[in-house]
Amino acid sequence: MLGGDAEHGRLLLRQFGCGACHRIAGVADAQGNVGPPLDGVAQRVYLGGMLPNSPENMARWIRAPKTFDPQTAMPTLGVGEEHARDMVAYLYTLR
Amino acid sequence: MRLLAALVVLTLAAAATVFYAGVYDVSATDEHLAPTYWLLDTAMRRSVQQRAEQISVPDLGQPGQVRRGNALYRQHCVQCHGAPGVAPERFALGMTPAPANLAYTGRAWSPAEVFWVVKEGLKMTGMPAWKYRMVDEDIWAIVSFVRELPKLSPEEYRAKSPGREAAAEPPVSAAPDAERGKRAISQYTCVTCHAIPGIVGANAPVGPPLKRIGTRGFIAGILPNTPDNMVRWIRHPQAVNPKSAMPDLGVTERDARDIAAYLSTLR
Repeated sequence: MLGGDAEHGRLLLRQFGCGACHRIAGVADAQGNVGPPLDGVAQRVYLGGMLPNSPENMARWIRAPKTFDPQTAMPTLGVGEEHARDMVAYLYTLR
Repeated sequence: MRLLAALVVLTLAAAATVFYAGVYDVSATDEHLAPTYWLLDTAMRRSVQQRAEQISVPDLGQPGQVRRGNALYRQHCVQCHGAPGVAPERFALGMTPAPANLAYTGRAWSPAEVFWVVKEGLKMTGMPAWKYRMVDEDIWAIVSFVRELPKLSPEEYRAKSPGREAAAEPPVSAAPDAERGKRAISQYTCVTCHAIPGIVGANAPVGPPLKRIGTRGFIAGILPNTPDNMVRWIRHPQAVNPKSAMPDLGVTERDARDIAAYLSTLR
């Protein structure tokens, strides 16, 4: 997906603390329930309840959620473009 | 005993072939076999008769009530059922089973039966339940009007248009009722977008799954998850986030409170 490395993405999801807010299958300590669980997120139709889900949009959402929804509680975590691609590659394995 | 076992296995295999292998044609253009139609229709009639027996029927037929029923009928019923001299809308013509012509129902069915069907709806027919969208008094007004339908000529039906009247908003109950909220959830098509523990249906991943929503920090990633915020979000999502894909489903205050009460139990 977007040429990203899924396994590296899985590790990055831990490194950026995504699991503090989201439940993520395959990431052991990702049990947060602040935002929605990411189980099956590859199949989800909308991201953040408003952005049509595609690998490109997911990468953009991860990098800068507030550009799509200024009110969102999801912070900008300073994820670089390449890292976002790896995360998307992993998240797209969650069907 | 061995014969019985063989028969059971054969029956299951036949059922599996018909249902799982896709032999059964679910299209609305494929009419039911006559015995299937008879079976379904009889089961439906008997089920309605059974349940309607418990209902006490108020006075019907006062002019004000019939006029109100007339107005509500034109807003909510004629689209599928038609009226004297009026065809159903195009989409309704393609429905299987075909929506009943109520000029006949008004004569053939008892008022309690018509009331029960309007209120509770009929599974797998396209007949919706109006329970969550209309108070009993308004449903009785419709029953009252349906009883008058067979007496109306097309000309009279056309002439008697009373104009629009909004259905009455149901009163808000004292305490939120989670059990009632659970039933309301399936009446607002929530599972067409959300997976919701305890609710049978599509559970489609259009929006986020609501598993453990009772303890989630934020609603829609924006609102702190409090009972009042949940009610606010359920009723008017666009007022919170104009970009939200979640539509305003016309959820009443009472239903939103009860739905929020059910969701808060998902921990």
